[in-house]
Amino acid sequence: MHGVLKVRTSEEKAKAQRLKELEKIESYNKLVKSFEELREKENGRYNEVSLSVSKSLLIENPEYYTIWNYRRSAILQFTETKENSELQVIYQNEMKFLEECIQRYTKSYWIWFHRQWIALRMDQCDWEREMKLCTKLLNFDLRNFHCWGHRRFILKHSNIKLEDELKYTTEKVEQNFSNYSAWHQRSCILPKIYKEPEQLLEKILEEFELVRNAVYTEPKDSSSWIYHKWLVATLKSIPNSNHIEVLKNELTQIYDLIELEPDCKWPIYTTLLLKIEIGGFDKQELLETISQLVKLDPDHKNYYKSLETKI
Amino acid sequence: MEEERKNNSNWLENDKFDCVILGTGLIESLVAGALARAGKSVLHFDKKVVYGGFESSFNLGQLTTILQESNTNVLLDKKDLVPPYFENVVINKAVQTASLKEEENQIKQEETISTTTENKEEDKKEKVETTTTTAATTMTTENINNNDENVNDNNNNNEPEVLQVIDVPLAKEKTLEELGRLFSIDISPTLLYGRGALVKLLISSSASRYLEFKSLDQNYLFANGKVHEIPSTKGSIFKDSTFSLKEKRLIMKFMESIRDLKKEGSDLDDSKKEEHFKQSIAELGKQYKNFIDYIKSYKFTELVESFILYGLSLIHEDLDSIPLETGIESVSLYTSSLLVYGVSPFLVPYYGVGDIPQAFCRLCAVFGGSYVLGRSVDSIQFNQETGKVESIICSEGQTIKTNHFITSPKYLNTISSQNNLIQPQKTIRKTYSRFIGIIDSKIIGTQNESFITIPPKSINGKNKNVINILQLSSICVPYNKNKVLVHFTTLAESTAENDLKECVEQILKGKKDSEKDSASPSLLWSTYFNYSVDFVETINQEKDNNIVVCSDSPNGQTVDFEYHISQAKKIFETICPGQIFLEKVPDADDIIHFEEPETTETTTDNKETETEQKVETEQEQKIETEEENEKEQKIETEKKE
Repeated sequence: MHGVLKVRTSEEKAKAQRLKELEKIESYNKLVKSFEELREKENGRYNEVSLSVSKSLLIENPEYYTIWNYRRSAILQFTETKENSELQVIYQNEMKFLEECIQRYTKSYWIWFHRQWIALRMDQCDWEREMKLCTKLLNFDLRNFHCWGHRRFILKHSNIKLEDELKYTTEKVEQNFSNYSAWHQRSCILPKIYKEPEQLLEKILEEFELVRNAVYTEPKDSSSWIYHKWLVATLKSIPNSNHIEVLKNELTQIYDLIELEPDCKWPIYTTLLLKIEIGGFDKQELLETISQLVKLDPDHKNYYKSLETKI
Repeated sequence: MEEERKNNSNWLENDKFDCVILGTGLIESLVAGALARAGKSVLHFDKKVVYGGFESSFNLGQLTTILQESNTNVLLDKKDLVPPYFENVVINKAVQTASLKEEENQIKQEETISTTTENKEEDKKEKVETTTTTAATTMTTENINNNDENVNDNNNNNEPEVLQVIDVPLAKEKTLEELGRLFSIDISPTLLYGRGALVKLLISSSASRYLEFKSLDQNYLFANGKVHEIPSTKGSIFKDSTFSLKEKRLIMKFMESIRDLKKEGSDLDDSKKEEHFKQSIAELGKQYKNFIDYIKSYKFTELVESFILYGLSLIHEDLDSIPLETGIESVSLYTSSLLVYGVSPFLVPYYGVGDIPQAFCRLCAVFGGSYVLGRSVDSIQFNQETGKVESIICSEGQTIKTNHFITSPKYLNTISSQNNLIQPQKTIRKTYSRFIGIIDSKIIGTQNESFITIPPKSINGKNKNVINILQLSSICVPYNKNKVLVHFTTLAESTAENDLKECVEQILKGKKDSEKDSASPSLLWSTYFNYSVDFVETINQEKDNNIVVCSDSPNGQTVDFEYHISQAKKIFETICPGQIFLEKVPDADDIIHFEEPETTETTTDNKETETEQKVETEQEQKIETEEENEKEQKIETEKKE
């Protein structure tokens, strides 16, 4: 028939694909074998070849954690025999190689661990670059907690300003506030930036407003409510914060939301916690709220029941 | 008659085709692509020398020329009125000599061309006058074009000099005319939904390989004298400062309920989702007659209501009578297109809308279709007994045999036939008012690629219909030259100038929020014009005489192309019943071009694939050279970016 193209069938394609895969598996197995032979032969006495062979294996499979351990042993042995300048070159190369691996396997514990291990051994780690790497990876997956953890690691060991990081978390929260890591990052750095109680109090009040926008937009999203919980606890810890008044205000605001969303558990649960915190509420009323929560969210029934003891 | 006409009987080598199509509007192009893909031989004409009809894009020089031609059209035969043509054209040009700033202010000429409406009422004497003026203006455009070339030549010569002598002051700023060919200006600008019918078709038919798109930066609603970002994703609603907390909740709730109707994000398969949607609509239909009733039932505040009606749904014509299902589908299309290719649900064609019909024409050509631009069909001949189309006589005088003839109403009016066998089409005519402006900075408060919706009665309470604005400032314009293209479109009530002038002035002036905001943009070049589109109600001509008449293509006010695709599909099905419409083109690697002949049948197959290949390469080269001239520059600038 005219106009009909002859096309390879999916069966033919699958067969060709399978052949390719088999080839790859074979070459990988050869690589593993040659590495094991080398390891047996050198018997704990490492040299340049140890690094290059293990590297070629890691290129194929960066998730092979034994090999990362092997490399650390080798590097540790080098620190006893080599000059510092030589070591720094090794570290530089290692960081470059890790950067390639990390972008292929963004959530591998051993790769991130190895990177931090090397970073701390360097004379001068390029912390800005580390930050940029995290930012880049978070653009692909804004909840990659390895990246968020690495950011805290960087903040701890570098001179990067905490204010910049706060700005970054705001940006990420505005993109999508359903992000535990970003809220958590905020809770980690806020008390470090605002060291004076008055400053912190002022900031916490601002944060209540921010969370309010989030919970009105999406009351079912737990991440912003959990941050709210942290705000309440932090507020309480500030001396002379007059926190009862603030919490009372929060309570009325959340009542308005419940009016719009009577069947959503999070605002109801939060009012219960606030009432316990404020104190002086009728016990019967609180018990009713608990039974309402049990009805709305039977999966967490026993947790809600356990709150009865706190009343 | 016969003697006057050209009689070039050997003009085309092949004089027998399955289908002859006249006009390269989107619907015709879709049909052409689909027919060729299904193995039909296709001959495709367009009287103009560009693809796309009303769905075409031009550079500034070309646009000026065709707009000016439209002014002379009134004097011409109706035979020349094929898409795209315009009425009530006004062109305003602020001529800037680009040398000294003092001069710039002094020499600011305004060139206005008299409108055609005036022409109609004028007597013969004055008519002569207008002909001379238009002749004069065409002269100037020719000069402009010449200048354009000269300047480019000069620049080429200058380049090495600049490199040698560093002391020479920076090359003087290029004038608009010099930059003109770097613009890509749409006659009927439009947006595509990320999950819309056209994007789906482009992917499923593999025609997307000929196109590039950019995600729109932001869409806006004009309310209370200023532009408001239309927040749509959770994140943008969260950080929005226009709406109150309660309003934010109501907007989210509304969008959730629409998603729920469509069961978006659930694991159900498509047919189940469809079933659920149909049921829910039927249920809702008992309570609410129209979309507007449903929206009113939410008792939104005025701002939220207009945000939903004009921001989230983009069907704005006859708002009060939009059926419930259509309205909800429209909102659902919006919400499901969010975060597909970017934050905005919309895509804009990188080199103008004109590329879209061209992509399908190219697909047709790759599958053996023949293209002849700048030629038309003069007459149609019917078989005396069956009353069906037998052949057409093209404008070169050659008779070409065909089984099917496809065209649009405006073209049909230009064709003569024996015994008046062509039935007049039942059409609905819609006239649009357009403004195209080139300005020197973005509209205040907007981002690079922006879409602004102006609800009715919001320009001093006067505009009867919704006005849509598309602003392009990093694509379709010269790179990094502070030139911004703004398109205004509305259903016409009067002439384009009457409909839009006040709106243009108010929007361009803008409303500053703070001192920090940049100054209002000023107009460098602008035009007002009207165009009319004929929608064909039913596609049923095929049964009687094998002529199919399809609608003109543009959709000036609404967005996306569902209508066009469904009409193209219908036409395709009348000609190729039971076949797949625009079947996916397999990957080049998977196509088996040569095979050991086993039977005689496969040998013939081989021959055909061989010729196909040949046509493919020929056509590709042809199109590439055509396009390259236009695009090369833009691609370069893009790379610089």
